[in-house]
Amino acid sequence: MKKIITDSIYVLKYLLVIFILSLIIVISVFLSCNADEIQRLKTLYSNFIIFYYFIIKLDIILYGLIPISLFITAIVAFFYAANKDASKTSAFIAIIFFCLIIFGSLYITFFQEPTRIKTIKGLYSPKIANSIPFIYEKSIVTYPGYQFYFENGKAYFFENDRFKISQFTINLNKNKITINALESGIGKDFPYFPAIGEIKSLSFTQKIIEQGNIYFLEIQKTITESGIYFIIYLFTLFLVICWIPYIVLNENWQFPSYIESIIITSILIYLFLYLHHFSIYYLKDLKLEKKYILLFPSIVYAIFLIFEILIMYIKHGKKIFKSKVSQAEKAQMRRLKK
Amino acid sequence: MAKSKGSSYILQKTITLVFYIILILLVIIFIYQNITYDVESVLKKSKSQYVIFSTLVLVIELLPFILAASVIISFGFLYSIGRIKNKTDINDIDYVIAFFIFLIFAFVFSAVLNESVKPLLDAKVSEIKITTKLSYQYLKKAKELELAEKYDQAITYYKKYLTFEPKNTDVIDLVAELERKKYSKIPKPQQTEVTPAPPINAANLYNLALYYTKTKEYILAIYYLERYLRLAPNDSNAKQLYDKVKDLYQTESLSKNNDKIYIMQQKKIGIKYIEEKKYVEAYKLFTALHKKYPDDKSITPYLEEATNLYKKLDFFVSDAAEKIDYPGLNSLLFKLNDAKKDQVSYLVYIEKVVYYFDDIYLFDIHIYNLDTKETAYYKYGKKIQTYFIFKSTDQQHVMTYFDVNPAFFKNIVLYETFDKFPLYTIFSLKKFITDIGYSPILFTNYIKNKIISYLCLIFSLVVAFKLSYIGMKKTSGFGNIFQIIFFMLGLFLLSISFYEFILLFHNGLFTLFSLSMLPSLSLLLIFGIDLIIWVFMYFA
Repeated sequence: MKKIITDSIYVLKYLLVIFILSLIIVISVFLSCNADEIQRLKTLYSNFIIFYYFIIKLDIILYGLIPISLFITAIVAFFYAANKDASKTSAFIAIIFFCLIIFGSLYITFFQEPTRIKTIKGLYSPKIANSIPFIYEKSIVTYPGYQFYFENGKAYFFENDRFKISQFTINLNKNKITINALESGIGKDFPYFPAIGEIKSLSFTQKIIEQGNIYFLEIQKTITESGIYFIIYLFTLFLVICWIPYIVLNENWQFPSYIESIIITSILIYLFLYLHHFSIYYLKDLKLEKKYILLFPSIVYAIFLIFEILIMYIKHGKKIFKSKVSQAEKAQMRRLKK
Repeated sequence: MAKSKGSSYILQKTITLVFYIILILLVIIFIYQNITYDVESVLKKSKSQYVIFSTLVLVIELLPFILAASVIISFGFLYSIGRIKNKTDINDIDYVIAFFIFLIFAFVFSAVLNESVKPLLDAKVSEIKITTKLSYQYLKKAKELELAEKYDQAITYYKKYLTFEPKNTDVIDLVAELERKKYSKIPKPQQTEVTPAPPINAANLYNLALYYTKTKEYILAIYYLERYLRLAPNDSNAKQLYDKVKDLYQTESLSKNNDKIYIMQQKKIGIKYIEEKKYVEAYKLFTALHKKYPDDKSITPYLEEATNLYKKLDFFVSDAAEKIDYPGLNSLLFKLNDAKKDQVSYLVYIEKVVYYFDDIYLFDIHIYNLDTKETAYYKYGKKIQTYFIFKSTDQQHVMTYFDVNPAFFKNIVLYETFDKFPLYTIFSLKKFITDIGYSPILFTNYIKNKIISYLCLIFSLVVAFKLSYIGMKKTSGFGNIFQIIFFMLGLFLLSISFYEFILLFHNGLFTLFSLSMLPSLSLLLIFGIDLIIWVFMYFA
């Protein structure tokens, strides 16, 4: 009993520390990925500091960053726990406490009242900056099909073999520069700030990320209406992912087991998002009950959890069986020797 | 001694693996490019070139993934094989030494490929693409005209297309059929006459002098001999020949009639102009002389010599018009400063820039003077020596001195972006970017992209080593096929996502830091953070 309590405290400590660390890492990655937007906002508002960005993007932090850091926590902390021979019971107790702390505080802080997030978002009132520096002054900017030279509030360009001088306006909110007199349409828009964070990608994962973004927006849209569903979703997902390290952990071959965990976790997350998409767009068309539709992904994941527990039980049973067999063999050998 | 043996063994295996992966990738990408090759984006005749060059470019771009994957595979495998076979002569420190040597090798290898080979390949690929884009414009136009039953014009456009792809039998057959349809004479195909540049080495000058002595063009022979003697003043044979030719010239000039004396005098004046480098005057004199005496073939070599020299100062509209179909970059806007007048700058819009060997031809040039607010238009232009000549007709001759680096000018035409410029151009790239009117931010971005890409390469290799190191510590050989599949899949995901993720993260960090500090300081800070992470990772 004492071992179970010390182990569960040990696992809980790991869970909390890794959650905080992973949240810091995830948020800094998030900030660096959105650096161009922060740069634009800093130019646009005189009272902008990076902290305000968290308020502006509260939705993303709640529905995107916290879940991601939770998954990282699940994998990393449970690996440590599994490696340190912490029993499943103590890990289970630690998880319950951890979930109570995290999901409880999330619920109390953000989802208790439906208007809470809106109230928090209203805390920041941006003040438009007096002057906006124009970064393209006295320089040529190339857009597909057009090249402009900007000087003293005028845009110089050639269109259809004719030289033209035009006025232009900048809309930093939309990140657009509008050239007023273009033959191909009055007031044509071009992007203003260069997309600095953007890299020319060779990635084969690009399409997956794009699809993931669509799913994320869908989730955000449905969840904002009722926060409790978000808590349920996260809870089921988190529980399922937590037990992966215990299942894949192989004492004989430990190196790729964390890679296996990452792969399985990503597949499960993707599957979850797909289920959500499926429940909203396909089951809804069949005019099924709304609550059932909304809970569909969680129900599927509860079934996953049952499977996981079964696998763990079988693994555990095998281990006990093997050890008992070896014990019996040893006892037999001893008897034979005698 | 044992340590160096162990580390060199690991290093040798890792480098071998790198080359094997590169080889496999080359084959795979080559096949892929061959299958996905699009006839509308690359001409048939350039297909093999395009496939080879673009395959190489892709492999060079994939280098960070290849190197990281090799580190994980080779280190992981070597250690596990060693443990299976109970070979314990390779220590941990051997792996560390091997990794650091490999890191240097990887850095140098990718730097050389990225900075010297890739720009050349990129230029070649973009040249092929420009050629195709241009030629398909003709093909499209020709098809439109063919459908409108304007066979005469259609044939002209098909022939223009054939200048790019002369062995395209489909088009040749089509042209023949159209000509049959037209029931008219076959117009002669346009032949581009390329006049060879006059020889400038000493032996050639002497040979030319001998040739003109034999053809009794003594003035030209004297001219070439004088030029030869300036290069080889001690050649006694040449001196003798020079005296002999001079005597012959004097005796001949005494026995000539009035017209011949006049021609001879004019030739002498012309050669004097050439010697004084007054090539325009010489060209005009010989053109007039040729017009006056069209039957006198002795004037032709003088006229050719003067024309060749004239081209060093000017160009002919006909020459430029021939080059309009050659590959080049379309629609470019530059802000160019006047090299002779201070603080006078122009907005120059060029519809097309063509590189013909070392010559730069410009077409449809609009010039807007930012001070006087005047605009000018010229049909043709050429970069000659340190200035540009613009003209719409042969009689026009507008000389403009723009302060622009011709070598860089060529690169921007071929690369279409500053990011592809090799690193050794860095010392004058900023000046070039601002000179042609682009924002200096582009230069900062160029440096940032270069530094960050190399930093990320090292970062991903360090991560790869750390991963393989953790693996090595815990691995005792592979179990079954599923584990190997998982291992390979994991490698694939890790090596692909790590480098790109790190690159994205570094770019964002740079933007965030540069909000409140200098770009150089931001880069230093990022490097410092990376260094701390590497050290932390090594000891963790």
